[in-house]
Amino acid sequence: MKIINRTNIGWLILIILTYVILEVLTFVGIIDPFYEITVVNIFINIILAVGLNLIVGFSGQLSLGHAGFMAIGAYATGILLSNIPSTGGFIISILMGMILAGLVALVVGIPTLRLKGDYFAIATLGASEIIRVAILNLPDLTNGAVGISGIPLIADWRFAYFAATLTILVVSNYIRSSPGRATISIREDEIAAESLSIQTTYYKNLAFLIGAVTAALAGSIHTSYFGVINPGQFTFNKSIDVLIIVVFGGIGSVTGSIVAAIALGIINVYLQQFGALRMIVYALVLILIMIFKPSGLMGNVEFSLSQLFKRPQDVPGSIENMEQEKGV
Amino acid sequence: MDTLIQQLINGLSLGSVYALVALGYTMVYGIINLLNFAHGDVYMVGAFVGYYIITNFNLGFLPTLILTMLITGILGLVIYQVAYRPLRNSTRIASLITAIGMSYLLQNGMIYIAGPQTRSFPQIINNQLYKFGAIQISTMQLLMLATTILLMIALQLIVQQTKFGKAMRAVSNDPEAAQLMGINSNQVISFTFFLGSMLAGAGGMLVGMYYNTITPTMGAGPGLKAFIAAVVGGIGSVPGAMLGGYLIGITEVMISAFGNSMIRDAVVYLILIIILLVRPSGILGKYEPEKV
Amino acid sequence: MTLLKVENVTKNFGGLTAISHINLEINRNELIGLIGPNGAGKTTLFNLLTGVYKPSEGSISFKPQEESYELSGKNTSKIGQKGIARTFQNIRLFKDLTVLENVRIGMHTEQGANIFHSFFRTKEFYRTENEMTEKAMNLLKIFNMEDKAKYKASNLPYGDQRKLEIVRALGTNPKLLFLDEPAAGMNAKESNELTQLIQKIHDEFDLAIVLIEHDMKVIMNISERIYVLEYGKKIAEGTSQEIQKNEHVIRAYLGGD
Repeated sequence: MKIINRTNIGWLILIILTYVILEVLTFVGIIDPFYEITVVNIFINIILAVGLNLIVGFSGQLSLGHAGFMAIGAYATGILLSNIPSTGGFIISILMGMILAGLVALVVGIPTLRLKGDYFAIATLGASEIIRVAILNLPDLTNGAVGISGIPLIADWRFAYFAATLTILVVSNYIRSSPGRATISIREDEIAAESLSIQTTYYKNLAFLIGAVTAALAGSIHTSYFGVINPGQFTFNKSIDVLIIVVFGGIGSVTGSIVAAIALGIINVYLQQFGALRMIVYALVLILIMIFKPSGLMGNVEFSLSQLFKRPQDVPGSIENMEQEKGV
Repeated sequence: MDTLIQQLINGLSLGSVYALVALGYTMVYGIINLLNFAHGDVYMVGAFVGYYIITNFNLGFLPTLILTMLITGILGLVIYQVAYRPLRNSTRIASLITAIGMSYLLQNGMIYIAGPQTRSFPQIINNQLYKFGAIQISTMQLLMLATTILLMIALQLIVQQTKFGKAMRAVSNDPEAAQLMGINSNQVISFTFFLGSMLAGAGGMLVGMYYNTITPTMGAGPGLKAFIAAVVGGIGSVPGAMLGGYLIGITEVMISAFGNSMIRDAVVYLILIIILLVRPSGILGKYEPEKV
Repeated sequence: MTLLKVENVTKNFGGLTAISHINLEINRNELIGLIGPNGAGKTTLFNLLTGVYKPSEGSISFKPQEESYELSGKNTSKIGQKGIARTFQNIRLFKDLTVLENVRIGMHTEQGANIFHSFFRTKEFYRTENEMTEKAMNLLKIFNMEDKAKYKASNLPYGDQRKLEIVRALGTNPKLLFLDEPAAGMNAKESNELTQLIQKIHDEFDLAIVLIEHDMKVIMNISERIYVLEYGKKIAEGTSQEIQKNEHVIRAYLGGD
């Protein structure tokens, strides 16, 4: 199996094609500035949901603090970009946010992920609240409850598209690799995974770390696209919003998270006016999915180009064929 | 010194409500290992039920309290039967997400029914201040302390002395063995939800009276605090929940009084994280590894 | 040459002593049977030796090569890395994954945990992936399961699930393999086949096997030596002929005094 193969070229074409379509739609004005906001929000949500799905869906650990890591990225960019208003400053701020989010993830994850049970869920919830309260209480740095505004707008939809694509690529490559399979085995049966000499705590932390870092990236893009941030954007409810996308799409399906992020992004445009009723529907659907189809809408099925390319004469079970199916 | 005692009294009154709500968390966790995120919202419903009973039927404190507790108790029962019972055999993550969904449902359902605005709770008791030197305590605080302590004693009696209490302890120890011994575990779990939700409802109504205001989102904060109290005390342990409740209540009041009230919530979460690091099973709980 | 030396290992759960002062020795490439009535502590002993439980006292030393390691108190994955693998009494497969994936997870250490290769699909990534798949397929072939490589593990018939657990454990390249009632729930024909398979693994791979089994025919047929536990204590050891004649053992199984 070579690096340049049908599947990989197929994906490359798909990525470029989507980009060209978006570019054209923007050029002819079908995506107007109003819809562009929706599009960017969808990309941000894709990054958030894919990252959270790695934690929740693949390593099987429930994180309730995704908004906290997004806040770290958002504020890293908000603060740094206000001081260094340039593309370089933006890039530095993204990296800073990612590093900081990664460090916080390790501080929370290392002690709690070795315990079985719900401690991790509780700790992430607590951590994200501490992050929010810390932001509220460092007014010199973060401008407290009012937040930061007038942040240079450097990220555009193209940047968001690029970041979302990169996130999808990295996460789906990861889960279809040896460390990724080790991560999934933890979700499936932690004790069996340990018996196969998999260091479960290490892989759980790794998944959490990657998820936290991508959340910070989403936060940075959010900040530099909208130019305004305040602590109220990163509450527990935001974490739940992302969780809803993951659950709708399918716990353990990257494809599902992408589809759900797009679908909910569009639906939300129309349901925004219904406020509480919309949330009631979301809550009901969340409960119903868990009762009747706990694996979410897509289950753990992934969209696979190699599956589409498969020729009828391919013998099922042959090694080459199997490899192809594993390849993205 | 006087202010310290004064704040201690305030902390005890607030803490007793946290303890009341924490008990529900702990009992449910103890029996089916579920973090019932919707518990804080049952507490909120309690405040609203009390509000509607008083404004519409003009009842006194005690009948209102009893009715409120009954209604929230039944609500808890329904929540279990509808949302959690079908998930008894599914993964932990599925039940946790369901619980979060339930919490969202109650909160937004109440916003839809009652509107998002803050309401003021009608006064039904003659609130007086009793002064002992520089220290003062209000009728409301006395009422809160007395009610919660009575309820906790009642709960302790039920858990320790009655057949249902014995069955509860049996189911929490080993649900399958309990079932084989002829205990209807579903009934027992339902009853646990009923008891826990009754206490949460009472807590909600008391806090509504104490602070005079209620909103559909009032459950989120105290719900989480009570939950932290349960974890700090040792989730699954009834005395632990009481201890944790008072501890968190007093800490909060002390920080507000002598420090910066802005960091109050952060300190509470910090306590939680420290407890998780140092003693994840909580002060009075025990950590059990999984059976192979 | 001694591979595993268990000295004076004891495990208390609260007031209950599940395993009491056990001593045993397993040599390289040996096939050992571990028997005893229900509740004798056989699985608990496996759990102690694989780090699922930590012994209350005693030492476990493991010597896969020149160097000897103390396993007591180490966690399961560390012990696994040293070269010990196991199966479970109540099957613990990764149910939602394919047969092939189950086996490849057992080989994860081969590629190492280089995340960079995983993230960006380097040449190295494809090379190790292909190698792993080939190795996994070869293992499956030994068990006649290569045509089921793409089945979901949970869709396999019961006997195959038990077999897959063994394949998966072999994928970690163990020097010592613990099999916890591999023939449980199998019919006579299946259990016969399995016996031959275990014999074959033992002959072809460079490893020692410890087998818990209730089917005495299986045990007596293939074990080179047998240890007998009762109430958490070792009551006998020896060849199958010796064990069959041992009065202590007969009493333990048939009751009486």
